[in-house]
Amino acid sequence: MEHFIDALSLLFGENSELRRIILVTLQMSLTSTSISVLIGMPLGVLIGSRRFPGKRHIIRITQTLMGLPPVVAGLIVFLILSRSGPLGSLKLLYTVSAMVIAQVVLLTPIVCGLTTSLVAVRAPQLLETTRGFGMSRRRELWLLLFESRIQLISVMMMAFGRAIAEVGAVQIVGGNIQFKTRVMTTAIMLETNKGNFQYAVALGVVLLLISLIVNSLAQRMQEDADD
Amino acid sequence: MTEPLFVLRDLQKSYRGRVVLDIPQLTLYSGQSYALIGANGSGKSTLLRLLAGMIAPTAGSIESCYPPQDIAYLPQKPYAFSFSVLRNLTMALPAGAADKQTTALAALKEVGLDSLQAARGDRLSGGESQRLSVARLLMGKQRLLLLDEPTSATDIAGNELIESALKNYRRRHHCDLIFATHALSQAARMADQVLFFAGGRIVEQGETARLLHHPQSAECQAFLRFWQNS
Repeated sequence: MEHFIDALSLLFGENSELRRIILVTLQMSLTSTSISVLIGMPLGVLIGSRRFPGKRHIIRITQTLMGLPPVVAGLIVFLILSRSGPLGSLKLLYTVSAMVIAQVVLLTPIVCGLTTSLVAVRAPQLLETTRGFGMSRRRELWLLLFESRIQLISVMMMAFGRAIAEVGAVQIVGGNIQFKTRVMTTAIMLETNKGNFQYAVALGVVLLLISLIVNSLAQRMQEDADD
Repeated sequence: MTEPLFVLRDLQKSYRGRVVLDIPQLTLYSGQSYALIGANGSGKSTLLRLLAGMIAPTAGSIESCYPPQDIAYLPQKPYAFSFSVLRNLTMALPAGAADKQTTALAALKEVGLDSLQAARGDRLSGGESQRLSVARLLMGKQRLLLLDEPTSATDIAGNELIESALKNYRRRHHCDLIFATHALSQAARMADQVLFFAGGRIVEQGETARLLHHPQSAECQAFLRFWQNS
């Protein structure tokens, strides 16, 4: 309880490091979610709504990648971005950009796989109807996205939730550098290991608050979309 | 009878090795309306989907005298969008079409849905949704209608509205009609020819009155026995 009270005073006090940690977390999570959604959702709609050779294999690969352990994703990105790696010259290792890349590797298959599943449920009936009265393919896809909007909002919020809570990959490629790449989850891990529970609890409270805000927003968006 | 509408040769459709439709030879003619009857899973919907180009045959060929844009197809479970009923119709009209609302309202009136134009399409009852789907199809000027059980979810009043709308449409546009139905009385009212399906094959075909009252094949006799006794 004492730690909780101390944490609240820390939150409402002047702590530039805490603010920086929260900002970096939000910046990283929002960017990686946006990129994953921009890549994964259209891919998911195409895979879920079309028949093509090798579709089953692609779905199988996507589903396998959905379970990619975060530390493995971090390791792969680390090896690519390290000095001896193919993209070492970009000097992205231990930056927020590297953390975003690692999260995109993690999140894109999840967004794609979930979108594929929910589109596949709706697509056959919808597309058979639209083809029956001769709608163009492009309009069909837009309609499919629109009709699936409530579920797609859930996918986006889930991706954001996963991004903001991720620790393994961002620790490996970001290095948890103070004032640079330290995010809430890696900071919680560090401060807990140091026995600095006040700080860890403060960050935990912020994480929970962000979760609550995001879920409330998502629910509101879904209600508006349904109206 | 005039020119052939469809010519089917050695037509087969299989799913995972199981043959669900097998038609060695069939010609359907323009100027005739056809009703497809038979038990569930007998191949009626599969044939309609093949004729509409929704699926490809596993083997054989289908020659059609109409290009795809002249054919309208109504699936067994049509999708109603989450827009208003009116928009469910106007969205089906071509982008540059004039007086979309007027056209849509006229179609809704024919099927008795004009009072529900502002209602959400995905919140209609099954029968209302089916009437919506038929109205959407009847706004075009297609020369062939392929309908899969167009009144399966409607009540008697809805049934009459849809059949009346279809008759008016056919009269206005001189279009051909092929439909699947479980309502044999509907086949009697609307079809010139009936095709009876069993086990993925066309077991019997003939003029409506003759087939429905004097079926030749044992399977058709057994199938129609219930109807004749009801």
